[in-house]
Amino acid sequence: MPAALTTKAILTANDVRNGDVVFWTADQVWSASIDDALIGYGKEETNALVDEGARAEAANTVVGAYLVALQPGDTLARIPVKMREVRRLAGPSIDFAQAA
Amino acid sequence: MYHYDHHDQSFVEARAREFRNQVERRLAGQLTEDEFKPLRLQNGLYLQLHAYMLRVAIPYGELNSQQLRKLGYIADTYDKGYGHFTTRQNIQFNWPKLVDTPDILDHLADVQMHAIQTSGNCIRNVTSDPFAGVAADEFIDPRPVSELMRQWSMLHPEFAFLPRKFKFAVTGAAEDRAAIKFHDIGIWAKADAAGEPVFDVYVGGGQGRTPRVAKLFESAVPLIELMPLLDAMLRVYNLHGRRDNKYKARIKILVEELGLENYRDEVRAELANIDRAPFVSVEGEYERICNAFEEGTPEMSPEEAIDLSATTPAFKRWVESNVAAHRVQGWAIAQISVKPKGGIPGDVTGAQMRALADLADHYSRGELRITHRQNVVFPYVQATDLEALYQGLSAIGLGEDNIGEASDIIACPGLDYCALATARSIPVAQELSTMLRAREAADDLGPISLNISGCINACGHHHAANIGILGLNKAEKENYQITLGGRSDERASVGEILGPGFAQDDVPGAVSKIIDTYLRLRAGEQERFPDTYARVGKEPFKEAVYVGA
Repeated sequence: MPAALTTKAILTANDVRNGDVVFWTADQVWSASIDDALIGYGKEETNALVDEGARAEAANTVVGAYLVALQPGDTLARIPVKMREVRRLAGPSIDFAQAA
Repeated sequence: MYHYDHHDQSFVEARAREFRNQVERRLAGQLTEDEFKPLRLQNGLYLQLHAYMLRVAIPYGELNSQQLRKLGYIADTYDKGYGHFTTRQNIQFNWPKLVDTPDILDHLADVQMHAIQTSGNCIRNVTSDPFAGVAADEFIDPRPVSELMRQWSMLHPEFAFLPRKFKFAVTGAAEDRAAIKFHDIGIWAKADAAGEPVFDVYVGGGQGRTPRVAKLFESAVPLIELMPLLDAMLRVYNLHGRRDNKYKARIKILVEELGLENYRDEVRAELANIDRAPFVSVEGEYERICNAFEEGTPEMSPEEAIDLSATTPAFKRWVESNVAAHRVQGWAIAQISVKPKGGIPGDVTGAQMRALADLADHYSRGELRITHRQNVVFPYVQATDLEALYQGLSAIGLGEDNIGEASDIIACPGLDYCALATARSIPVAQELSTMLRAREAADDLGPISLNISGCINACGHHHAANIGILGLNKAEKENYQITLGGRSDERASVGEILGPGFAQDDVPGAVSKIIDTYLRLRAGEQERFPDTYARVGKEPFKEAVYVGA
């Protein structure tokens, strides 16, 4: 698990059983929707998210938990800084397979 | 085709049972992810950008209709209704659930398939010529030696943890359709004066961030010496290959750092002391495998050549593009393009898999091949059946007549799926395909290879393409670098970078200008793209693409 970020971040992982991308929420559960993701601001809150990810991995709920750095600005917007994370959150940009 | 014996069958079944137990322990919390990860990877199960991904081995690309039906069943039952043929002649499923993978492996074992050694630093699936056994230009059928190597490399205890992954390719024809010189070890099977198989062995090829064309290690190696030689080559690599830096761990780096002569000396010293006891039965086993392949080959009596002149223009064009010469007159090798206009290279739906399996039963004696160019081959088609086959393929969206043309694009999954990718490949391939199909309909562009990789690891073989495209992350924006002049045939070469990269929207325009330049400068319609490029150099292409852009 990467070290905490000091700015603005959310916690993501993959569900162990089905591999789905999930986000840690304010309700202390994992959700498939980024809109539910709990935003951590500053070092203390993002450190808490890191700890939450480690606990969930140890509890065998998720795999590969890590923080996604978000763009600063509008405090409710959940727009990742990294292109990779933008793509991961959006899902494949293509339709599946060929139209037969 | 070759069929597993009871030993192989019981092995894959036992392996599936073992993985079921491992998954159960993982889900019960008895194994941590760190403990489980090497186990799942040894069974081809990755964790990718969005989900788990299962890569299933297709040894030397050969499948029967029953196996393809099973893959279609897996696609529909456990995934999102499709699979993706890869550049190693394998198939990947992009959305399996961990809880379902034991059942999937059981289904695979039912049809003699598995996902072993499709990941990790081991010897990966041996690839070969998709025309093996039927090519008109073939010296030696490469499948028996490929099968021999599969048996040798499968769970080889000494080569389970190599410095890095290791890829073999084998061909036995005049034209190299297996890209052997872009492999860690490439093998070119030929016949000696007595008609016995001998093997030219190449070493140190590969793509990735350090693309290299393999060098000839030794020529005309007799069968009895081949397996001990490969064993010695691997042992020297295992001992001296770098383990401190994964980017310098492939055998191409070892060969370069040691020098080919020094590497050869090390291998010969190893060979002089190698225990030959495991290899005493090689000739007998090779003969047994040859017989097994022969028994599985349908009777093919020479037939009258047929006249296609009276048929429809669309069918004639498909024949010209997609049908290759067969070793038996009146028979044909039908290549099925999995590159429809604007489609996703290598993706097939479960329904298409089932329909292809039915067509293979009707028209190819139930056998088919997957190519490293992400297409499908029917090896046993009677020429008189070609038109019916074409109609059947067209009905399921697989009648595209573009084999070997620029729109026959290789593309890796890229950033739409892959955790390592730095940019998307598939949407770029789709845009290019749409543009190129329109151009191919209007002009004869000739054969051009166009390959796209979504990162420097080069799974899309961009280095080996006449026109290569590499997707990069430039300041958090996708940027596409173009290389020209690569080729993967017997005259293998690495493409050269043309210049600064392009935004995604600008790639089709740049490629179109490159093709315009080729058409303007080629010395007649017979001169192929890489030959024109070698003759005129980079500058005219660079000028066309960048000047006034």
